[in-house]
Amino acid sequence: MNRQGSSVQASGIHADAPKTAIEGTTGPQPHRSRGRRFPAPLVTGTALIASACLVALISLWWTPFDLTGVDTAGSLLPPLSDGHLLGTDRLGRDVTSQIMAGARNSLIVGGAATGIAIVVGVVVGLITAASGRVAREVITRVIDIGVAIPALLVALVLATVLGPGRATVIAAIVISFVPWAARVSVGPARQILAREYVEAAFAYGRSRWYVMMRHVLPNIGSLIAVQAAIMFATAVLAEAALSFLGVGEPPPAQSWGRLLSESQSVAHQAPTLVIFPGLAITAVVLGFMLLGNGVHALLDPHQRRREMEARE
Amino acid sequence: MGRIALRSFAVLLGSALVGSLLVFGLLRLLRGDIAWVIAGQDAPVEAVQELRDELGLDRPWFVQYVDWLGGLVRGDLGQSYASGYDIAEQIRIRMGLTLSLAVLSLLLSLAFAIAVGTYAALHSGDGRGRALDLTAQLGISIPTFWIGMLLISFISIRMGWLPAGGYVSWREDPVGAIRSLILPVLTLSVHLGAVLTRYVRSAMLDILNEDYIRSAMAKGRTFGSAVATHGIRNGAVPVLTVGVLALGSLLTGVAVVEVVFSLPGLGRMLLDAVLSREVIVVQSLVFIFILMILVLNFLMDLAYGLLDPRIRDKRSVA
Repeated sequence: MNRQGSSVQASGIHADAPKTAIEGTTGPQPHRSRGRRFPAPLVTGTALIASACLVALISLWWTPFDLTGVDTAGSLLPPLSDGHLLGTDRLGRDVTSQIMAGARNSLIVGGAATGIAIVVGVVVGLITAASGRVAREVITRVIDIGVAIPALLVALVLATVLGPGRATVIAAIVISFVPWAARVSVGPARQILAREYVEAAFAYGRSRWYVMMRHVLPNIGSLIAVQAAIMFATAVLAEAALSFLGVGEPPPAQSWGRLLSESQSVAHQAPTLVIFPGLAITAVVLGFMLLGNGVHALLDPHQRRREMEARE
Repeated sequence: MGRIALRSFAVLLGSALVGSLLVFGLLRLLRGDIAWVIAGQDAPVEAVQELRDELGLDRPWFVQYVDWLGGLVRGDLGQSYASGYDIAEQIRIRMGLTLSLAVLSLLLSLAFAIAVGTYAALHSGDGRGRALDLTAQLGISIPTFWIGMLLISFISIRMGWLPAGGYVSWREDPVGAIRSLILPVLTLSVHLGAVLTRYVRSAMLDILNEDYIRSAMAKGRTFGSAVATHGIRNGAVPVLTVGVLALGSLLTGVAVVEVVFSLPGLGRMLLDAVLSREVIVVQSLVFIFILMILVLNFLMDLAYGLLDPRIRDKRSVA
């Protein structure tokens, strides 16, 4: 990450960056100038994501109670009773175990959707950046329309014909993310393609493919990483909403959105059931948002300078 | 200005046509025979054939497409298959509620974002600014439907202050209508308000450092009036851009909130149609949602021209 970050600055995307190194310069990278290499949001975000991944991993081998164990006698227990840390739901299932297993679902959907969308979208973006004026105009128009169409709408269309399920959700999120990934990579890719060293590489006889992989991709990589983190957060939110609506993966799989939807009918008797799955979703989404924005701030000293000037 | 409006309108019509083709094509491509989708996988063959005849599914696809498009324009989309209601009439009845939810939330979020975002920009260096920024990130990260559920739990069930759901029409009981809209609009405004706040703050930070603010102050304006007369108009353009992008998520948010608060709007209707696999209802409603996004886009396009003469000139030259 750091290596890519400094190469972006060196390539001049943030040409005005070095000016920010006012107080106690310790190195060539401006973000070190304030003596703090990792800002708090970045650390918090990483910690939130790491714990979610850890919980999801542990749930593969161990959960406090059996995931499918139904016990109607012990239903709707309040938190901290009978060894149930977060209580039990309407069917007497342990909420802690359900939430742990739900982390798996959110991370799988978020990871798969973001991964596929980034690869496809960036390829589309690079092709667009490298193509002629007319083709670029046409593709850009199509991308603009695609960006305006929300994932939820695509998911509802897909669910009508394919039925609910994890594949439907992932496909819908991918369809709505690809134009987004393409849009954010076109501009920076064109900036890099206009540089002298790219011209030199072409003059030297390098192929377009080589230039894309060797020069363009590494230079826009950190920007794409930031977008990927924000996309991951958005995907987790979309998955939760779709599961809540009944379009996500059906039981016996666990998902946070469906836990919330099931808690609706018993909100009178067990208000805590409404709280915990929502907290879990918020924590993971916030983690990825903080990570994305933290990396962005690290790479964009321009913003930090504005903040410092505005303070005066 | 008139020429730009005309151009934007042409783009609107073109995009709407592309959108209708996409929705229609997607539903047909994914499952060639929608009679099976409607009737279910294990329906008897004769029943499926009957359905096919009745819906005219044996005709070529473009005849069906033109038929559907004509129906949309005339306001005649036939009957719902599972529940027997008149589709176009239901859409007309429910449209008002969905639009008022969207527009009220947009206005509330904008007002909130302009006030809080400006405040956060003015205090960006100290604790207040940082706390507001963190709050905004939190607001973006909370799932909309969960906020609705929490509000129902605490404001409606625990306190009993406002209804937990349902809707009375404006004509019957205006006070009741407002009371039933308060919580849904609040719910919808959290996410959008937080998104817009961050952009207002960012736009404001840019503006505060602009030379024209300094010039206005040099000629005797106070800082506040310089920002008010020169800054806000300049800051409105980037905020508007984000507003347009946020519209899509606002409208789907409306659909989810209608489910949480059991409000009889278009979103509730769409979800019911999806779960009972009513292809024609889904197709029409998804198109109407896309149309709403496009129309709002069109209006924002016009607003750009009014706000920024540079955009106006550039476009009329091109």
